[in-house]
Order: sequence, then C-alpha cells, then structure tokens
Amino acid sequence: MIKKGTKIYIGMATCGLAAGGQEVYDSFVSKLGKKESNVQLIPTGCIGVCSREVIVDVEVPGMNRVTYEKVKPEMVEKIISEHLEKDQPVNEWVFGQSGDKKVYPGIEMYQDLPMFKNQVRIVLRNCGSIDPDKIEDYINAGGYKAIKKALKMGQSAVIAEITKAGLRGRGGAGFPTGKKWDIALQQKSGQKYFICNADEGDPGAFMNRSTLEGDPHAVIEGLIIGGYAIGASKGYIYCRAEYPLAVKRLHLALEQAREKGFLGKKILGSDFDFDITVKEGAGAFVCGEETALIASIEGERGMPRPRPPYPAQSGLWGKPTNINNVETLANIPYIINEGGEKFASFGTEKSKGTKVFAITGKIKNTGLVEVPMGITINDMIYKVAGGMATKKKFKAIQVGGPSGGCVTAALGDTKIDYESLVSVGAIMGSGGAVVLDEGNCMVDTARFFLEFTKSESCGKCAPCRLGISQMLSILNRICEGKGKPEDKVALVQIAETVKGASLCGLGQTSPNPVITTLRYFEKEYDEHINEKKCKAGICAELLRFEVDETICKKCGICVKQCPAQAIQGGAKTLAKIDKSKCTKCRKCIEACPFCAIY
Amino acid sequence: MKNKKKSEGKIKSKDKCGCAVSCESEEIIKGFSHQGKQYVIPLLQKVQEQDGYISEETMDLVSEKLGVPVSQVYAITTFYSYFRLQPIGKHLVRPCRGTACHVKGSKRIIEKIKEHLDLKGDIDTTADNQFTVAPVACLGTCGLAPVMMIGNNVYGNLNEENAGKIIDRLKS
Ligand SMILES: Cc1cc2nc3c(=O)[nH]c(=O)nc-3n(C[C@H](O)[C@H](O)[C@H](O)COP(=O)(O)O)c2cc1C
Ligand code: FES
Repeated sequence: MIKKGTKIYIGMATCGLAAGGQEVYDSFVSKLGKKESNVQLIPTGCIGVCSREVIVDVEVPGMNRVTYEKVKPEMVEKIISEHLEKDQPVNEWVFGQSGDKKVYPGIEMYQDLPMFKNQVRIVLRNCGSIDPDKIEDYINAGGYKAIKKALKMGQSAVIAEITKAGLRGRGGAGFPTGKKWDIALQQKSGQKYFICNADEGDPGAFMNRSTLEGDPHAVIEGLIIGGYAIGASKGYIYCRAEYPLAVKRLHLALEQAREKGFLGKKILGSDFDFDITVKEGAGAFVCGEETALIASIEGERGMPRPRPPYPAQSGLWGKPTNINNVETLANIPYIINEGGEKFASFGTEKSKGTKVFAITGKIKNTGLVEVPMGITINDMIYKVAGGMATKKKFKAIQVGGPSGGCVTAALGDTKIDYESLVSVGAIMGSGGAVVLDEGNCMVDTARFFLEFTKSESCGKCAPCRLGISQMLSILNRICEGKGKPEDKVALVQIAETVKGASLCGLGQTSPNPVITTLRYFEKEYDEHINEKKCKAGICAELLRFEVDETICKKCGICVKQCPAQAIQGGAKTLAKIDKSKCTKCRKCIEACPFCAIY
Repeated sequence: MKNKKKSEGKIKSKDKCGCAVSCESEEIIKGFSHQGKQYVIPLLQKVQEQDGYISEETMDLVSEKLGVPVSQVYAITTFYSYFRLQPIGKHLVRPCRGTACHVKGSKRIIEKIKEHLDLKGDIDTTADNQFTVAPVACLGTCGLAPVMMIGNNVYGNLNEENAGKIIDRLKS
C-alpha cells in the first residue's frame, strides 16, 4: 500500500536532465500506473551534487525525506515496491535523509554528511526542495513575505538593513550593495531602472543558472525589493541565451508573480509600480560587464564604455540604473526577513554571509556548494567536495574564471573571502572554482584562458585587443616546444601593460591567469622552454611517451591500462614503453597516479 | 530524451520557394509589433531559432521592419557569437570547451567528434547537411564535464569513445 500524500521529487534542472531525469520521471509515471493517485511527482531544481544526478527524493507522510543518488529508470521499480509500498528504503542507493519527521535507521542525516555539514544555505535555501514552477511552493517556504515587510519599512530602512548585513556584490568586484542602492536612491530622476545580471559568462561556472532554475522567485523577489528601495519602476533580467531552461522558468515565474499582484501597478496595495522584462543575451562574455550589458539591452554592440559616469548616474537610456548579480539579489529576501545582523553573523569581518561556488574539475563531488565566507580552500575541497577524484595529487585551484587566478595547492590554507583571494593573485569572481590535479598543465591552462579572452575581447581598446594576442602567441609557442628563455620576461611586461591600460575589467584582469601561473609554477614554464617537456602530458607537441624513471613507483597500473600491450614492467620493475607498439592513446598518462609518463 | 527543441529537424538553408528567408521567418518579422534598435537582438534571435542562421535577406527585412539601418543590423549580427551567418545542418552539436570541460580533456573530444564526422579544418557542417559542430564556451553543466549539447539536450560525462556513439544514434 502506498500511503496517500507520498511525495517524490526528481532533479530536473539542466544537470538532472542531462543525466536522464526525464527518463526517470517517465519511468515513475509508467511504473506507478494506477497507484499514482496517492503519489505526487514533483520535478525540482538541483541540490548541488551534480556528479550524483539523477537525484530522487522520496517523502512518505510522517517520515523523513530520503535522497537517492544516481537513479536509473531500472531502479524505479524497486524503489516503489520497497520504499513506497513497504516503507523500507533501498539503503544501498541512498545518499542521506533530511527533515524533522521520523528517522530511518541506517541512513545518515544530511546535516551529518561532511558535504552538507560545512555548508550554510541561504541562497540555495529552496533549491532542490521546492517545485520552481509553482509560486505556491515558494510562498509556503516563506516567500514574498520580505516584499510585504519591505514596503512597510520604507526605502531608507530597507537600504539600511542591507548595509547592516554587509552584503557585497556577488558578480565579481564585491562592491557593497547597500552603498550602491543608496547612491541610486539619491539620484533625482522620474525614471530609474534596476537590472539583474544573469549573464554568467565565466566558462566553468553555473551558480546563477542553478539558482534561476531552482528558485526563480527568490531572485525576482530580491529584484522587486531592490526596485522599490531605489525608486525604479522597471526591471530587467539579462540572461545568457545558453540557459534556455532558466529563461523558460523565469518567464513562467514572472507571469505567476503578476497574477498574485507582486508585480504590476500598485503592488500589494502600495503606491509602488514595478514590472520586469527578461532579455536574452547573445553569447558575448563582455556583456556581463555592466556598461556593455546596458549597451546590449539598448540594441548596440555590447562594448563597454569608460566610467564615470557610473550606471547609477547615467545608465540604461541615460537614466539612473542599478545593476546587481543574481546571487546578490537572491540574498535580499533572507536579509529582510531575518535581519541584517543574522546575515552578518556568517562570514568574516569584511566579507559577510555565504558564497555559492560551482566547484568542478578533478574532485569527487562536482556541483554547487554554498559555504560561509572565510572557509579555507582545503576545507572546501576536502570536506565539502569530497577530495580528489583520482589518485593524482591536488595541484591548483582556479578561482574567478578568466579574470581570476590559479592558486597553488601549497596555499590551500588561504581563506575564501574577497581580500584574501586578491592577496594570492586570484579574485572571488562570480564563484567558479575549478580544481586541477597533477595531470593538468599550468602553461596550457594559462593559454586556455587567453584563448577565451582573446576571442571575447570586444576590440575597442588596443592594449586588450593586441596585448592578449601577443601573450597568447608566446604561450602557443611555449606549448609547442618553441619557447625561448626571454619569453617569460616578455610575458610579464605585456601582462603589466594590459593590466594597467585596458578600458574595462575584461582586459584589466585578463593577464591574471598568466601572472599567477608564472608566479606559482615558474618551474613548469622552464621545463617547457628549456627541456621541451610537459610533465603533465597535456601539450601534444611535447609528448614523448617516455617514463621518468626517477618518478616511476613500479606500481604497474600503466601496464594494465595499455590497450596495445606496449608497456612492460610493473610489480617491482620500472615501466618501459615499446614505441613500436605504442598507439599514443594517452591511457597510460591519464592512469599514472604519479605523472611519471610524459 | 524528451523535450526536443521544436525547430530541430526543421532547420534548412532555404525554404520551398527558394528564398533565403523561410516563410515562417518572414511572418515572424512582418508580424513583429515593435520598432527601434532595442528589438534587433530579440527579433534576430527569433529568426535564428526558426532558420538556424541569419541570411543577408533576413538582415534587410529586419532593418526595414524595425527602422534601423542595415549596417547596424549587420554590426550586431557579427558582434554576438550566438548569431550564425551560415546555414546549419539538421543537428546542431555544441561540445563545450569551457574551463571545467577543458581540464577534463574536451579539446581531444572535440577533435574526435570532428574526425568522426569527417570535418576537416574550419569546415563545421557535414556534406550531407546532417550535423554542424559549433563548440561553445560553457553550457552551465560543468558538474558533468565534459559535456555537449545537441538540439536542446545535454549529454554529460563524455569521453573519446561515447561522444561518437551518441552522434551516431542521431544519424538518419
Ligand atoms: C568582463 C566582465 C564580465 C563580467 N561578467 C559578469 C557576469 O557574468 N555576471 C555578473 O553578475 N557580473 C559580471 N561582471 C561584473 C559587472 O560588471 C557588475 O560589476 C556586477 O554585475 C555588479 O553586480 P554586483 O554588485 O551584485 O556584484 C563582469 C565584469 C566584467 C569586467
Ligand atoms: S565548462 Fe563545460 S559545461 Fe561549463
């Protein structure tokens, strides 16, 4: 017997769908058949453990909510017959349980799992637990209370609360949000705009996408409160076109908010009119920069312009405009509801609250995490993200995307807050964190980012347009084994010039990946230049398929991995590659835990 | 996978009457009720969703409809990487080359995909017009890297072997 009111939540954000969420959903529908009337199937956003999708939660009335990981359609039948019908969860597939109802024995509570124990969920509070397509779910979770409260508080009091919270912009630079709003409020103008920046251009990050897909109303509520606080009557959400699902959910959420009277004329009986339009980007990284974004909404090529005047003075169509990132806005309802002080109790002295990171690369639990500011890099990697995925060692973490830097593993005790990250050459950025292991080449990584910034440079100013190209051609040369000893000096010189003379943040920060890799991994540059070696086995032109006998530990793993039986050795003898048999498939390079093959 | 993009399969380089703008797109443009340059990008997006690319004729029509010089329309079309100036094949394959995918070997996977479809050098569309390969800078599913998108479906945890197989399944 399936209890009436049983709920099944299926992860169906982009990650969940990519892992087969739709098939799992369909399988539940067909396997439940007639019994379905007792069960509610709820598609939901993402709880952040992308590597374990498809995530399915089962909640039997009166019992805790149980999370299954890596669910395949074949597993559905057993979940129904054991868990739904007999109330006996299939423990072997379970990841954890949550809630304050009756506890299942033998299943860990979420809050005891190392992964969640070290997280604080403010921005992601509803992601994965509500149906993002239903405004009622958001309201039941305490949503749209903050806007009511804000309308009663008055504009200045709202801004004072945000200032008290110490919230800083989550889009990159970390400008204090309360101060920004205050400047916008002071502008005398009949027309002001409020823009939500959802362009998320950092290639390797998806915090904003997940927030929009998992809890669109939280961002919308933050935007309405912001609009009210500065006296704007029109809002825009500028969203990447590569995020079709987020755009779709936003449109739906806006419609629902309008129906409920949270948007439109005289919101909730006040004198405040506000509406929001979604604008889709068109694939230009530089449009994440605020002045370029404004140009893009106006229908121009998305090129930045010098500031001042700042958008707060003269922004969209020359009117005072405030721009905030998705995550900044998702924090707003929490701050209004719980008070600035509560928010400020998380984090460090200068960086308050939490930060959402898209943590990816060579770690076990790739996905989305929300950590209190001030956590160390090591804690984030080993405690929250489960440590490294392979036997290769942690080498560096890239934070801040193309504008950020590569921080060496040796600095793993560095705190994650705005100032500490800058002190080691990186930036907080929007929250992309890519973990690299010994199998990644740092010269290649620097080259990768420059390839990106080169193609995304809008070309308006010369230092950025020409300087990045020059640095890239030097890096290409080094990766191809044609590097010269003087190349390092040239790189530094150009990097300094581009950093100092570029018009906008894209150019000014583009040398960071080069500067940081040179600072922490100079030896690797030297090996490429002088010995023509890429020990990580990445730079194709430098691959030799030889074993470094000083590193080889005679473990024999490569011997087993080689599909061409070209490697001899293992179990106490050094590995040796027979070049006449080697097909250069690279399997041995990838498998060697010690990076002894290059 | 469900929720297939509706335009998938409908994409073609020319419509039945031989114009470089499909009749559907012509209707979209003619039926568009706004004017002014801020509508250039949204309108071009609608047309590209329909036709798969922006032709010279499209630019002329858009320019006329919105009252914006065609030079401006051209300037926008060429600035934003989302817009394509060439027709695409029936399936648009978008392997990701973002950071998370790059550090997990996307470069070689992209090479493999192109090799698999016999695409050499800068050529991105197969001779039979079945596939166009256009790498993108991040699909936002970095947790499943390496990733590619075909139509509106995302495929994660790719490797040099399974990428080709996924594509083969779509061959008609
Ligand atoms: C090249 C470049 C790209 C940027 N991309 C983004 C982005 O994708 N998302 C974002 O919120 N801010 C981005 N920014 C920062 C914005 O210019 C702006 O500072 C931010 O949206 C302000 O919001 P916040 O105060 O809430 O952080 C970018 C800046 C530069 C220079
Ligand atoms: S880097 Fe490939 S999906 Fe983000």
